[in-house]
Amino acid sequence: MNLRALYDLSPHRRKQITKTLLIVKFTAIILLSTCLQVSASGYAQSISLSEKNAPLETVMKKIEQQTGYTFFYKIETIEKAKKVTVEVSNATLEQVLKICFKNQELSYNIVDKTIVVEEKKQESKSTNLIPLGDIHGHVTDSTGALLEGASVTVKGAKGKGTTTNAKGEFDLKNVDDQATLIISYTGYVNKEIRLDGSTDILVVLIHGTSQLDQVQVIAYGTTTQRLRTGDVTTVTSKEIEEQPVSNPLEALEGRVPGLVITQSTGLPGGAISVQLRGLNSIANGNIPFFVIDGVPYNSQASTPPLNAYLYGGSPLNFINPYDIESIEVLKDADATAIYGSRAANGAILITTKKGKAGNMKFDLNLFSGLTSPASTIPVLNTAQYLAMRREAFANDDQMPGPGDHDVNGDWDSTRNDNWLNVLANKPAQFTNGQASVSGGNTTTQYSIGAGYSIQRTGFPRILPGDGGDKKSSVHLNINSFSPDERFKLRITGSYLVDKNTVQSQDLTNTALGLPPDAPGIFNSDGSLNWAPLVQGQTGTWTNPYAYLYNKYVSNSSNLVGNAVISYEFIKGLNLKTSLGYTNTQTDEVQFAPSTSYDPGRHITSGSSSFLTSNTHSWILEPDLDYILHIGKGTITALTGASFLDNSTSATTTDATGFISDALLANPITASSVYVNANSSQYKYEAIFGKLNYNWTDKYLLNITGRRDGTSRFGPGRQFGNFGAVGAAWIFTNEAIVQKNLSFLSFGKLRGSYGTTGSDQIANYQYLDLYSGTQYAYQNSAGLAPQNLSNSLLAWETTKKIEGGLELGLFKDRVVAQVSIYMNRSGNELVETPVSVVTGFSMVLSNLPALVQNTGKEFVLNTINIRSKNFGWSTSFNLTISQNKLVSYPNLSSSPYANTLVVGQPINVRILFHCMGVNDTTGLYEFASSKGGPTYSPNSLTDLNSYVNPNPKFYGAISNTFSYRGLSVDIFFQFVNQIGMRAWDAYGLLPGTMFNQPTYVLNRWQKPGDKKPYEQFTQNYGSNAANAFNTAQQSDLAYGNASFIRLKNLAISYQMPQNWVKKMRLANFRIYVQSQNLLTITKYEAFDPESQSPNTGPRRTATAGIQIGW
Amino acid sequence: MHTHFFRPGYIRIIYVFTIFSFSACKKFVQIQPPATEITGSAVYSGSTSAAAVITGLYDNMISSPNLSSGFSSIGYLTGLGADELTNYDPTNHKQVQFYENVLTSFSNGFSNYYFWIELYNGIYVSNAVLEGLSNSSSVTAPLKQQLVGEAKFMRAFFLFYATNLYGDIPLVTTTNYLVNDSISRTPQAEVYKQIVADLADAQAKLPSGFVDANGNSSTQRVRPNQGAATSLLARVYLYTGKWDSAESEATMVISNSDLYNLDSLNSVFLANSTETIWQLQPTNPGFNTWDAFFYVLEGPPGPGGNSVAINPHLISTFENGDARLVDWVGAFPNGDAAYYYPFKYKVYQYGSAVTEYTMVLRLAEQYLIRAEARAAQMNITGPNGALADLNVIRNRAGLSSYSGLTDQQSVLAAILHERQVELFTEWGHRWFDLKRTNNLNTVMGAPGNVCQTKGGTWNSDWALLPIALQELKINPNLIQNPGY
Repeated sequence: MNLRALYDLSPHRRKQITKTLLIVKFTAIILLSTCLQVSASGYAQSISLSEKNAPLETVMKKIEQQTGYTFFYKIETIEKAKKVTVEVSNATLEQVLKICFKNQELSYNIVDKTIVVEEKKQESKSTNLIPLGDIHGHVTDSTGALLEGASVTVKGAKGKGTTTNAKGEFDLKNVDDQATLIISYTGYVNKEIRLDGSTDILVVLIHGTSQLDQVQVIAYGTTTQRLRTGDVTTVTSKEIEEQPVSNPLEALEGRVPGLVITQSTGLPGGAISVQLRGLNSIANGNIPFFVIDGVPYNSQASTPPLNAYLYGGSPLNFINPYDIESIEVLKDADATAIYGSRAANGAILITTKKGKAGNMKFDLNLFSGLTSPASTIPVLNTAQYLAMRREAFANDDQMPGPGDHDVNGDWDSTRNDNWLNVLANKPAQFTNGQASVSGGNTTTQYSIGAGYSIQRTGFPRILPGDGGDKKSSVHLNINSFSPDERFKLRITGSYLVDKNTVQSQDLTNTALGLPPDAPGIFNSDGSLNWAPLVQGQTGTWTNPYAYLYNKYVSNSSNLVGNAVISYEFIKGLNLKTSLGYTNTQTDEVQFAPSTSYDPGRHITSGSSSFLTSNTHSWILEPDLDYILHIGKGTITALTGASFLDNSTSATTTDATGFISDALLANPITASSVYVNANSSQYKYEAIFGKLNYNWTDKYLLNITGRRDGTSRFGPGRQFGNFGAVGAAWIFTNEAIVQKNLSFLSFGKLRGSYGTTGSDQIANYQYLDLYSGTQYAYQNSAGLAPQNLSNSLLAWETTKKIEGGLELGLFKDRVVAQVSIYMNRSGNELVETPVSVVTGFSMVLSNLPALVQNTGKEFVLNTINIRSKNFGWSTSFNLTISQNKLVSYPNLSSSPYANTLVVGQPINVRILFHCMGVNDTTGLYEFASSKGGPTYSPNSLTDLNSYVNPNPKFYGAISNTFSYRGLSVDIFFQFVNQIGMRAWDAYGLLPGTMFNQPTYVLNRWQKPGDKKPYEQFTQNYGSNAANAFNTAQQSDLAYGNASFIRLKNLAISYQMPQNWVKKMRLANFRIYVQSQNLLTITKYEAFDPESQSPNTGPRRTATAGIQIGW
Repeated sequence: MHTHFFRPGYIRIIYVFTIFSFSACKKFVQIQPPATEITGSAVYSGSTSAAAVITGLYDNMISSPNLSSGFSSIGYLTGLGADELTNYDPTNHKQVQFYENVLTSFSNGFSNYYFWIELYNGIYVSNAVLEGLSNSSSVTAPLKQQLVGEAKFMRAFFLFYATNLYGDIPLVTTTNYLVNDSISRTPQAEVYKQIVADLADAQAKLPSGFVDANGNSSTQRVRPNQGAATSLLARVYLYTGKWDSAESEATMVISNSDLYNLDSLNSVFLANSTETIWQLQPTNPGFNTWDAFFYVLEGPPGPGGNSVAINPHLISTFENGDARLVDWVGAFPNGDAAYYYPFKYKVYQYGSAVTEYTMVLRLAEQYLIRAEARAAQMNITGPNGALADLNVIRNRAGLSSYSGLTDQQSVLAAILHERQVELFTEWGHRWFDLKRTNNLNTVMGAPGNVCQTKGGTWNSDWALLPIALQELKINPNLIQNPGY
């Protein structure tokens, strides 16, 4: 960036800005920051020049090119300059500048990476056009970008202060010419300047080097870790971009204390569960509130995809991770209460990239790699499998029947396939490309990005284009303001199209249970082998490739747009209106051609399903904000309103009896077509206010309030009030602390208390609704009741209390945070299971239960080594959390009598206690209330074992090493938890006609055997089968699912600057990045994260290149 | 400049702004019901929409493999549990549980819980219609009478199956879930009282002929009418030992020869056959009956295909020359022997024209009810005796008239046998007959019994199905059946 960009404008515009700049008088006051001078001399620039009588401007341009430093000057100043002759090689910047300015009437100062050039001081007085005592100033950052909204106060003068306008200018009247000004701006280091008689000043603020000063986006505003009163964690674009993932949620795994992200499936486009600070709601509604650039975003699909193995999909998959500037996770009452009823489970704010003023920059980033399962499982080979089957028949004293094709001679018992390798574990492609252009001037900045990514599944592909997820996206941001600076406009838009062709069947699951001697996939003529006993009859197995003929295509497009217009009535008072729009459109087809069926079943025509769904919402949020300086304090006040309208609609078409498989896309060629439509609307509104008081950065107080109305409750119950108060004390700004604890560079105590609510239920639950039945009966359409209605539904409320301590030591090289919180949710809004005698299995109601989540969160960031060439920093986070049901009046007579226990987590598993395998009978045994173990315990009296499936503690440790251009990031995630063992999730009785993991071989065979697994059985009616079913409802089914995972490893090399310059580039970087490279766990099978026998999280390894112009 | 802020003008701006936002509130969040659904109050304010609820109930009974037909039906699963069907799929947990009489109360997607869900959902809809219509003044009187009749009939129908499968059951007569969620079991005798009352009311309200949803007369016998109510009432009286009432109700149906006549064996299960008292019309495109789809064998029974065949025990009880063994039983060769399968419904191919409907009530059963009721009243021989009715059924099947002993016990045994070969795999008749005639333990549990040949161990408790564990958990007032 270069302020000369200002001069590359139209003559008219240039005149205007030049005039403004003319008034700016550059004085020596600018710098004086020791830090800056260190940074200037710290850079050993080597400059080579050979110029004879060249204009100074030309020479300055060359210096800029070679050093990356920027000159800042008035054009008239330079026009008067003398020509220079300079002949140096490998000189330092300072040497060169000395030569250039030797005989000039000019002086220069280096401020960070900017070199400010001005006329020498004695001449400057003559251009002073400002009345005595009035100060005019100009605030920029180190790149020359003008800072709007910087706070300027006069030290010691009560109430005297102002903020800069959109051009970074400020005016102060009647200021003592020896006064000191304090200039502060969020995310920058505060600066004190003694006027020393100057009346025109330029202030250059530098970015806070401390992480405490990084900007954090919060609800309706921004803050920094230093000045916030609430609990907010930021994940930056750097952390996101280092991870080869396609859903931004994946990039959050392990990065945020209190946030548990779990991939339900490793299939691209599949669901990802998000839980922030535990479960608040007993049955549902535990989803945080997602906001993208100020626009609420549905993180759950309104209509689940036709492909059931995507588990409902994830709309966040429609957000390009590379468009994201930062993700903020808002946790406590102070940070979330202004979102009122929507933030009981916290809020996650996604902010996309914004344009920055400067020359046009072009950036290209490409990577490609492979994915494979992060975890897999060894299964029995044919010899082991057949031995298991025969042993099972012997145990049951039975003989193989005509249906037991695997052992009765029907199948070739010499076949031995590891079906996981055949069907599921193939390495799959993952490619991603991103391009962006950004730039602009001081009044208009833009950023345009485009992305493309393709991720495939590990299943065989037999249809062209099948088995993957392709995404293309564009992102646009424009910021602009009017010449009089009162109107401001920001437009942000993201558009993404996604084509998901993930196979309709999760073949990992299929492969797992398929006997290793099952028939081959293909006949010799290439057709599918169904292995019928007699040609023309039905086959003896379901050929897994048949699933691959079921084509699935989902085309989605997602638009998130936001415009913010603001108008400044008077100084400091802004009326702002934010207008947002989101639209997600999905068109899906699923084809089941006749070729996907066993020909022996004589199904000669195919069928297909179509789904078209649309979710669109708009939000209008007008607000007024005002900044007021009172005494040593600053009050920021905000009041606003929010109106949201969210509509969804979906149409499902099922067509059967097609004339030909070639026509499956056109239902008119089907003999019967059924179309079902549904729609719903959600309206929501609120008024809110926020009052923030900052007393000399020492005492901070934040009060928020909100009144909400929702259409999800019946008349009379639609409105609720929520609010919070947060306070912080930065004790390191107390003189006594500064004096006695000088190693403490920062220390803050903070606390907050407030209430938030939840209306996370389906729409219309207070109405009893009937919808049409699928088929006509006697030529009449039918109606069927949909739900038990409850007109008394009302808000669920969560009260949150939190205390935190934040410390910075040794100039913030060590930053530590501790948060302790307690959230209590009452008036629980849940789908209460009811006896199906009522006609339904659930009714939505408010329950008088109190659920508590408590936890401690620790964050430690250290800069271990920071030398010229080598850097090493570590960051660590740890969360210890607990969930429990505090009270539940009359629990024993409630529908939850047997699923909840006071004092236990609300998702506690109530189980039989398995006492292992009886060494005489070879059956699992369970504790019985009647005393003595039994293989068939009583389900009413013997369910006495409680298992807590929530993580006990979890966190991550990350180390970043850098050596010159080389940078290595190593990120380990760890979770300590008890989980459902694969053995149970798998659920297939060992001994029956399903393959098994090899660990089942450790089974009981004969009296006296002491083994963890009971005898094999192939009879679903046997005692062993009953004991197995019971064991699945026992604590045996749960085990250690703790793991340590090398979640991310990223190595990148930034080419040296002079090489990059030589190539006429701005940036050149090559990198390798990987995800889930290594998992250390005692978990027996598959993935300890997903705990399911389906495709789990993927291991990804990629290599990439990033080029900037 | 902050002093300017407190000028009245600015305060007014903020005041107006806030008040505007606030007052815009209340109306904004009031929304209309979804455009694609209808609220309960709107449903019963229109004749067509009110009738559609009952239509929806029939549609639900038939649209997917369901309790009426196919592999989840009462006929199929109790057929496995009794002595009618053999299971050939050892991997099918649900079938094995019924077949080997090893049902459990664990309901993880496999067991009999399904019946409970379907029956009580049907009862809910019936109750909703009755409540909705009682508050409605806009449905025309004749239609209202018909719909109330149908709803009462359906409630009685579902209660009948629930009590015969589970014994004492919660007697649900309201849609109020707050009442029903903690309801206790009602003794079977009380349940039967409700069933009789509902059926008597239905009998009075329903039209004698066949009608459609709008009350217009129809050739389709797919909505229950007066004859259906009378037929079911006859069966209820038979089950409860009210012989004279059973006889008189059955007589009312049998004598209505304008509507009901026995058909030839191969025509009985055709759509709208003259024997039909009530059928369900297939609605799922491409399919006739689920029974044909799941019984007819094209290969050996086993996993992956159709997986049951008729139990040899049943085959062996057919008399020589019984045409039903030819017309209603199919055979798939198995070496020198064969796998036999129920072939009452023949059209199993997907995409065939719909010619067969699922039978619910048919005339032959009324003859057998009357025969049994008369025998129980010692009216055995003669033109109006039990044997006369029995012989009507035997003769149709190509068998000669009954020639065995004519003492009451022998005749009742003959009737029980006739029911076995006439009504096999229809709606659980065999299972219920064995229970109500106290023959269940003898047939299932005697040495060398049926249960043992199926691989199980008989216990008299197995006469009733278990109530699913999760139901007991939710409603502590529900008590499990003994033995589970």
